[in-house]
Amino acid sequence: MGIEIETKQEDIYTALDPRMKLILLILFTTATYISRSTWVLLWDYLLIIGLYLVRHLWKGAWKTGILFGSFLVLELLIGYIPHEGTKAALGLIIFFLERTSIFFVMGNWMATKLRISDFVAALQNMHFPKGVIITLAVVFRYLPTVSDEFRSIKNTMKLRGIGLNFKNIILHPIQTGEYAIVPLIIRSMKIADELAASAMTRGLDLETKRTSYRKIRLRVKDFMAAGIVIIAVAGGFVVDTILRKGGV
Amino acid sequence: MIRMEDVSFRYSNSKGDALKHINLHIHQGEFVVLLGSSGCGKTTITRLINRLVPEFFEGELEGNVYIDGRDTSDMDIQDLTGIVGSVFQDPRSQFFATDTTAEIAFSCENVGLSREELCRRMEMAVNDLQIRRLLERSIFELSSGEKQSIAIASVYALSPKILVLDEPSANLDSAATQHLMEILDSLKKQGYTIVISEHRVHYLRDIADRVILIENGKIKKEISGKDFRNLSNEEANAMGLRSINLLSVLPQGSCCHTGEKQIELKDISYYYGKSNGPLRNITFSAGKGDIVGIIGSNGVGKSTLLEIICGLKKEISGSFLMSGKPVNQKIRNRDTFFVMQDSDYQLFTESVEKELYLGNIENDFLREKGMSLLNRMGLSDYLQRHPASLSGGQKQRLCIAVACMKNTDMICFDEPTSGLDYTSMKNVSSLLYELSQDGKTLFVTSHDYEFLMSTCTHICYLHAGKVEDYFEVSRKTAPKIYQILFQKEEKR
Repeated sequence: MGIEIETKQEDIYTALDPRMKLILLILFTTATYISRSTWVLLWDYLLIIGLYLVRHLWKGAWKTGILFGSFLVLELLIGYIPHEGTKAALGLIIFFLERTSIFFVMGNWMATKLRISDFVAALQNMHFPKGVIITLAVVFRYLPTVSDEFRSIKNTMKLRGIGLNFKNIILHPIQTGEYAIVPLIIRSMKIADELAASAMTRGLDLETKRTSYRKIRLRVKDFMAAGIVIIAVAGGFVVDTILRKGGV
Repeated sequence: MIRMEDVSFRYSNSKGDALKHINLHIHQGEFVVLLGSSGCGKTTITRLINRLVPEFFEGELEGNVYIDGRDTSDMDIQDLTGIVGSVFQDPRSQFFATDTTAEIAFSCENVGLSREELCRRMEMAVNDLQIRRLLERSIFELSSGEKQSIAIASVYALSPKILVLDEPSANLDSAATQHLMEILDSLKKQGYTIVISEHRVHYLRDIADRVILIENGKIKKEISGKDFRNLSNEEANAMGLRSINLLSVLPQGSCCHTGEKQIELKDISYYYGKSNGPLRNITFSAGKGDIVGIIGSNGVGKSTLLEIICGLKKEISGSFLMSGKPVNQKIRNRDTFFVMQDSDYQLFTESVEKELYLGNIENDFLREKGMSLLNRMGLSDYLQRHPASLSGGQKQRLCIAVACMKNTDMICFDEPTSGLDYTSMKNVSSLLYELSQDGKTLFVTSHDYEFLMSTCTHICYLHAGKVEDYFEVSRKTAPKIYQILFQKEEKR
């Protein structure tokens, strides 16, 4: 008897090839920087939430929705600021926040339930350099644990009277940020070190060609799914440009 | 199988030698246990076998190490991949995949086994270690014991000749430790050469062929398996080892009741979503100077209970009283402290001194208090050191000092003795005793029978989200505690 393991229900939604996921991540991160239009941004936001929903990641979709929603509301409010200089400065900040956050949101979307070994195998098939593959693998392996680590840090900050709350963030923004980030970096360094040691003893560094337990192959389905999203993003861009020209 | 000839090693960033003139010969099929206090060099010996020393952890190495008849001096770590399998202390940071199946296959994939061979190996590992139920699961939802089983399976699939384990039980509860013993026993019977470095020795009592005691980087003593089994707890403790025969460990019986109720929990309930570790109708009270040991299987909600006590999580219903008055979350945040298992999350500044005054307004009174606390914790020589550069035990003591700076009446400890040797465990125990003498109420989650016996005045047993039992620790109740801790997983 072989050991063909039955595909679980959720796998249907995670089945998009990791390479395609990476392409979508790059697509969304760059697309929103190309256009300055808020309408295009809104369209991309909706698409990203859609990507979460398609994979049944309800919680992720909800959080992403709230994040994006608050950005848009902020942008709207900034529009009412009478002082031109302040308006421009804040507008610029929100412009970058709105767009850089997409990188993290999509990174999270990709990292959720990502099978690292499939990812490594896929990148190997594409003849990526080994150093790049290992780095990417460590990053995506570590991402899902960050929120757990951060929760412990937040808890201690609360007990030590330096809590990550509105008052402290406004009054001592730099210090509070430092307190939150320093332990996280120290932990990350430690974990990365241990992870690397473990991976070395298990031969991740070997020159032999890696085999794969799961069959990794790009299917028509993968191209179609990615294609639809790419067309949707490009479509939003084109429609916006046409409307803009026609309107003026 | 393993031969070390006059091996000395010094880590490149440290002054002293980690190992001095080690001569060691381990035969094929032998089960060798390395014992000794923290920092004695036993981990370094395990690293010599898998060649992490000196390839990954660099330093000066003298002498020769032979593995499977070959001189390792011109070998890389990966050359040993198929020969030596390594299992580490913390299952969280040794996994590379995020799902169990891929994790087990990982080493075999790296070596480049053909797909048919890979499937055969997987099948063998899954059957022999009886872990079929763990396949296709996310790594993050496994218990520590299950994670350690997967780590072993992943090494086992590659069928190495030698198995090296570095404190594999440090994060396991008693039942999982027992299970680990069964796995190791079956591997031994299959003819594996096994080298294991450990603090908790009771579970290895029956399967060790040879015990090597290491002190300050030297082999101090070799004990045969037979003599080891006959060692009394007193003899073991005198050598700085944990007790071998747990059943004969008795409570210290140093009760100091004032009868004054410090905290009361009434009908506290907490749940998150539908099933995630819910607590129902938790009711108990603890007096000044009580040290309450909270026990129960992994995932029953022990840490959640501590977080509720500290006000980090809000109870859904029920009331929480301190000195007879109901208190809300904010006051609990202010008046309690939580010493986590991993102190790295808890230290924020760049020096020990600054750490003490963080969140407090510095004044003469506090400075005096801080200095006397540091003296008591044995940290007064480290005033300007960066907290991250301290040892694990020192970081933990710094956290306790921080807790005392806050004027807390209540301190919670999450697994304070995981991975501690006998002396350090005793130190923590007496430190907790001193705190209780100051009239503080302490809550401790632990799986460590020996520590619970020497420290706690009361036991709170959580089972299926409820307080199943709450009783005083005494000679009479000791067997009951043992039974709760070591009951089989199926029964829970």
